[in-house]
Amino acid sequence: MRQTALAAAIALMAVSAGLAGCSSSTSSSSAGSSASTGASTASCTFTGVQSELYSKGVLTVATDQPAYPPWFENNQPSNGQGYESAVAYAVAAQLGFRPSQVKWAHEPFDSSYAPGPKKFDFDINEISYSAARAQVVTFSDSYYDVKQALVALKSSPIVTKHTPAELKTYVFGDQVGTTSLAFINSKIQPTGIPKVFETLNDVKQALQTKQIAALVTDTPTAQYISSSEIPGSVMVAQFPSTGEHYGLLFAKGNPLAGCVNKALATLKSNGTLAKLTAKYLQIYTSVPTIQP
Amino acid sequence: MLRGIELAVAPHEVICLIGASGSGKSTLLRCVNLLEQIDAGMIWLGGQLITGPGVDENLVRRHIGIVFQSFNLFPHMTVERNITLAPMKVLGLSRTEAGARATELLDQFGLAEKRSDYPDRLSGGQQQRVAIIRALAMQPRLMLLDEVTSALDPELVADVLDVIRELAHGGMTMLIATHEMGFARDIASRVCFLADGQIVEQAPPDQLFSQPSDERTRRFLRRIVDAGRM
Amino acid sequence: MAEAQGLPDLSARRSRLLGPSDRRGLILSTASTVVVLAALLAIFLLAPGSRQVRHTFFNPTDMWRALVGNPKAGYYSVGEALWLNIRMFVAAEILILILALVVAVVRQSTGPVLLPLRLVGTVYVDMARGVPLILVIFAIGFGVPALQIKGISSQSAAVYGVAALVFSYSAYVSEVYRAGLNSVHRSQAAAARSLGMSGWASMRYVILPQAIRVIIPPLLNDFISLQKDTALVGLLGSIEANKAAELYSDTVFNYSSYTVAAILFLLLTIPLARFTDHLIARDQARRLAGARLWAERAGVPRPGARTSSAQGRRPGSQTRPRHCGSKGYGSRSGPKRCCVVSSWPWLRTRSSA
Repeated sequence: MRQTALAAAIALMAVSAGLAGCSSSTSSSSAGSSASTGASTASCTFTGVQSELYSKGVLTVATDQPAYPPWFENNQPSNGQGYESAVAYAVAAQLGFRPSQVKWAHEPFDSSYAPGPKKFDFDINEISYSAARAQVVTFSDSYYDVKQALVALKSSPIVTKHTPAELKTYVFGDQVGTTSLAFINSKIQPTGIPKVFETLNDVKQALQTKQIAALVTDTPTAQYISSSEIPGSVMVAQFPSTGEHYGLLFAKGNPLAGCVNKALATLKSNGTLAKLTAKYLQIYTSVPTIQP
Repeated sequence: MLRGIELAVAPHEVICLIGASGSGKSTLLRCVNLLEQIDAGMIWLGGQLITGPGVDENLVRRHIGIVFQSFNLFPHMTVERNITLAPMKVLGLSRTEAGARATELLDQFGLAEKRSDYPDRLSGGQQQRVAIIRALAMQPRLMLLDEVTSALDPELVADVLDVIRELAHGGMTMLIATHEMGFARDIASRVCFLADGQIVEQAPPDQLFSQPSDERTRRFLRRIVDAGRM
Repeated sequence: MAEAQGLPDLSARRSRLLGPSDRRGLILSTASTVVVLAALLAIFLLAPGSRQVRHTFFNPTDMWRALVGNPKAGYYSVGEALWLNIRMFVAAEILILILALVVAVVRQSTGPVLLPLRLVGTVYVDMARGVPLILVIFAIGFGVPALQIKGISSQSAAVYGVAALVFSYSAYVSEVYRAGLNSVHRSQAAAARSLGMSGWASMRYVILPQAIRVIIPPLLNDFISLQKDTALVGLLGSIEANKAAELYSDTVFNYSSYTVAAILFLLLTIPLARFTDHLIARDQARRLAGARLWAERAGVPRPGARTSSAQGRRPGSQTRPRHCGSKGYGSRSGPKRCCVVSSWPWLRTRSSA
């Protein structure tokens, strides 16, 4: 009996030593070590990017289910409606892909940053850039600069009482995986713990059943919710920008990101992004800005 | 199963029921203490009809003690607790009163040193004697014994039969279903032979064993004798 | 000598099976276990993506950060969040044990008076076991607040989560109770009723205590399962341990927080699982002890001073095989009758259980 126990103990120690000792190094990618910048113009054409694609001849774009307006319409990314859907097709066009050569894939947010090869070329899903995240994946440049905003029911006191001190007293809700929670805790700093839900639908439900006083999300989503989705709700205000922006998510070191950044730069300079913003994101300059 | 049973038991009488398995001995006993519902007929106890409507069965069972073939002691309680449980919870005795009653009975039947043991530490004969004591602790007016020695080793049967003999000599009214013919002959006031759910014959033991009047009784007794010869 | 009677030599075989071979078998099994574990470990360490996986799942820095938490950065401490899980499953388990017992006793009752309750009980058990727990959590967690009933609709998500867990688990646990109640032989109930005890008294003092002893292992099993199902309450917005792990991983894009949560849950459940095994082993030992005692049949001493000796029993009658005198008509027939096989030995073992 003692021999078995001793052998088992040795095996266990070997396993944990292996796990602990070998994982203390910082992350390094297993997929390609070449830098993603410096691609020449010639290689950003349809034929040039073929070798970098997940599936040859096709640009595979991923997003989550359900896909919410105003980023997508009718939960159908392939209809080209909605800001993110339109941006994806615009970027694809810059790279030389026809709309029929764009395929959509479903990727839950939680697994979009999993290690190992991706099943898509890039993921477009209102994902904010952060330095920590950029160590694990590669982000494109910004395709939208984000501000956080508040949505509440018209009957809620937060509609009129929202000085920084008063804001601390409310129960906020937000969606998991967004940067809203960090914003709430670092800028608003409420006394109670916010609630974090799996999907945006759950957050909206919680707002309607008065389990939360207000939900925090980016301004376009907030705008859409208060105008079209929850009757009796209102977008209370938005907060000043913290420098947050959305980027397309690539596998770490994917050289395709360089071509996509060029495409985005072109779309910004020729006004396409501004047009799409105006069309889908309905930014009203009359949205008040309050301090957190 | 039982058909046309007519049986009268006078106080202090000991009636032994004999018969093959399935003849209805156990069923008859279980009907008397209302464990089985009777479809037709009447049972009287001490001048009162106990099968009528509105009779509280629990009240009736306080006055009838029954001991089963398979002892049925409560395995999660000590011997003492087995004996004192019903007197305390049903009769409302205090712990000391019930304990005194248990002590008296345990001493009487020679099991005093087992009072704090659990049933699984006792032999079969001891368990059966405790089962009898447990029934006696309720001070019943009638004792029903359902083949109480059939499941015991032969060398343990004697102790249990001694206990029953003591009860009989002490004047307890008893209905005993048994296979122990010699014992039945010793202590019974009357022996009933059952077959197919009917009482075929009942008579004092000397008469029934030596001069049975019914052919079925004769056949049964002959089979017993033949088995003994084997 | 054995070979002389046509049998192979059995003694030589015996010494090969015992003794030094026992130790050899032990060494062999230990060695093979270690080899298999080492092979699995080698596969894991040498796989091409191993480094990345190790960093993503087992990075000590991330594990520590997740354990400690940093709300301003958007994630909470997994360790602190576990406290919410613990409070939830302790509260839920107490309520489940009570509610399940009530349901089981009602369903086992036989009186006509309780028929409506019995029907309700059956419908409840069917529904609660038929609907996935996650749906129950949503229904209660979002439905009850939507009803806007004063007081009831404004509880925290954890309260609704516990309510959903109690609703769902009580059905399963009530079936475990019923199995325990059914495992108590009907003769116990018969014995208790025969002593004049009412149905409820016999249930309380005789049936239930025995039933519960039998079902403690499956009850503990359900409790261990319940501990993990508290994770589902995170769907209602509460920050419990798994939700906290998810928050960390979504913020930093690293899964090591899930590893921390898994380790914490293991620390909770493994002691309980070993305790359950210990209870099962102890119960078996006790039952075997009873059977062993029965195996030593003959050594039962006669009690001391017995009043029955005055009843005229022949001295030394104990030594005469009893069955010779108890069957048939006493000693009138010859000694040939004393070969009766002892009656129903199989009955003996059954009744001694």
